Amino acid sequence: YVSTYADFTPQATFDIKKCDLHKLEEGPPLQAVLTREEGLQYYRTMQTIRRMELKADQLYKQKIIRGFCHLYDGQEACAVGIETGINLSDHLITAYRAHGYTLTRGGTVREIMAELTGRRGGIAKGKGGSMHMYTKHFYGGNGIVGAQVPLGAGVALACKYLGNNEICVCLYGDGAANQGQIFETYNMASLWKLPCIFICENNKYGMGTSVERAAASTDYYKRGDFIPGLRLDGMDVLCVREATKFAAEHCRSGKGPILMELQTYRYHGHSMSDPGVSYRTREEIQEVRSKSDPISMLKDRMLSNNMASVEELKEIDVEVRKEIEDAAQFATTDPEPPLDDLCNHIFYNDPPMEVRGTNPWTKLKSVS
Amino acid sequence: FSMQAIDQVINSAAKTYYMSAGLQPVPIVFRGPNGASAGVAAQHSQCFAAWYGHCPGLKVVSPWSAEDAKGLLKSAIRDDNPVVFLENELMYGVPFEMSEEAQSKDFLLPIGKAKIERQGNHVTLVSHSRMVSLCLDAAAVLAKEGIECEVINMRTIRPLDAEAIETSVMKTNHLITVEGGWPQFGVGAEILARIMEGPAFNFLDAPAVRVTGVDIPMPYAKILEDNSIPQ
Repeated sequence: YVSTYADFTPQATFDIKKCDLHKLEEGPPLQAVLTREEGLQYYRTMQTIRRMELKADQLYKQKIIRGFCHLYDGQEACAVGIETGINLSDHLITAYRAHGYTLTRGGTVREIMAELTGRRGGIAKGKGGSMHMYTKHFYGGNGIVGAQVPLGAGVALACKYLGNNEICVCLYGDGAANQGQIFETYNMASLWKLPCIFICENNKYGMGTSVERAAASTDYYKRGDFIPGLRLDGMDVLCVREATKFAAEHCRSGKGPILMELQTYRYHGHSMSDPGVSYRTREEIQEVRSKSDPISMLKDRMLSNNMASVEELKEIDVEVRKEIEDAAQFATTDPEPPLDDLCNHIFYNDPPMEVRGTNPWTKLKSVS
Repeated sequence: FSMQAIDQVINSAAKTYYMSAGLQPVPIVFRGPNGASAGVAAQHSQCFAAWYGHCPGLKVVSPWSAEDAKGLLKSAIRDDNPVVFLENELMYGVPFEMSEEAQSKDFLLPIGKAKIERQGNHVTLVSHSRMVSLCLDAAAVLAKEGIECEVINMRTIRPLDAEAIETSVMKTNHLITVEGGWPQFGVGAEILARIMEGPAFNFLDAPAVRVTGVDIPMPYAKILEDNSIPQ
């Protein structure tokens, strides 16, 4: 039995949850249209992120990945939803939980995994590691909490200055939301009407501190004060997409910045050195997994509307698994970066120079 | 993360007693891990000994052993001035033997005094924090070739115990400083300058040398990281 395309519903309209609004007369639409192709694509991408993060967990435990590793599983709807609401020519910057965004912004699983294992085929040639991955129009991957937000506003300023109708999506977490530099950024972005979408990924915990213990106001979508905001379900990829489209339109029409709070959840601890159960219960994690998992939510919607078959989705799962396996294979066999790359990339567009090694007689070469 | 708070460390802590001409002391200790760990890449591997050591009004302490950590921390807390206490993440897991005295309740170590961890006659190795371990390892290797190193554990970056280093150099006639931080304007650079300016210069049989981290942001890949700091 082979199901033909004629058997499936080509598109369906879904009711999505209303967003909480702050200083906005109206919000994103309450319904989203999803085509079969879109659905399959979102499913595939979210599943790829999920599997990639789980594989990274494995490799970390085998000590093939070292240092810091902050996993994104549970939050896939955010990265995928946001990307579908903007264009690749727009800009995006986030903090250290960045593997998902590296993928949605054009990176390949191979490059991402090889970067995690510190190989020359990595997206940053092995020199950046988990927290420092970049692609065109994706500015990382930033280790210092909150420091990426002013940078994002700067990118937005460049967009406005160049008049290219592009916008910048600036992400940060519930922990970073209390950082002073973010409020400075709100002020400047608002004053100068920068095309900046501030997005707070609220996964309820800043490392091990719950939002109640960290923030005097947990209404993160209102913290922009004079900046209009929306709060929405970050586990629903369609919600995220519609809100992002709405926000992008707001920015592109010259109204200035806007703030989105995505309520989401991470299954893993803060990083691989955090088991993630000392500040929350396993029951809580299990409950989110069973009731709000983003991939399951999309799958259920598509299946119950006859937009795809169980076999078809299973096939995607198999393909994704294979892609991850191949990438992991590459990531563990690709050689480490060559030593003569050690001192390169200090300066851009500069003549070659010498760099002091560990002692005065070692002079290493550096090219731009 | 130091750099996000560094304004207050320097402008609010270090300078206040001076600016108030003695009216407002700042008895505070800032402590935390400093320098390279393992695989934490560029933004989490910087050594701040030189940055903090540059500022008048600050005391900067960099313990190596468990005894250093305890004695210096107690002294830092009891000190009425701002003290930056630079720990090392990789040293947290290293066990040290502690004497009875060191384990006692009021064990204090003076800030501003270095310790000679190993006596020697041929060359002086000066270091702080984790690099002291490296120096001792190197000394053990060199001893087999008949070269006896004197290893000095600085313990304090500021005020620098130049006298201890000078006394040693006047005995051994050779000096090597070892640090994990970057070379330019670093701890080693300061020590070499002081030796030049002081009585020990005339006792050097060869130019003093600095062993430092490579002058690049810290890369992530293991092979690159291993080649970025003294081994």
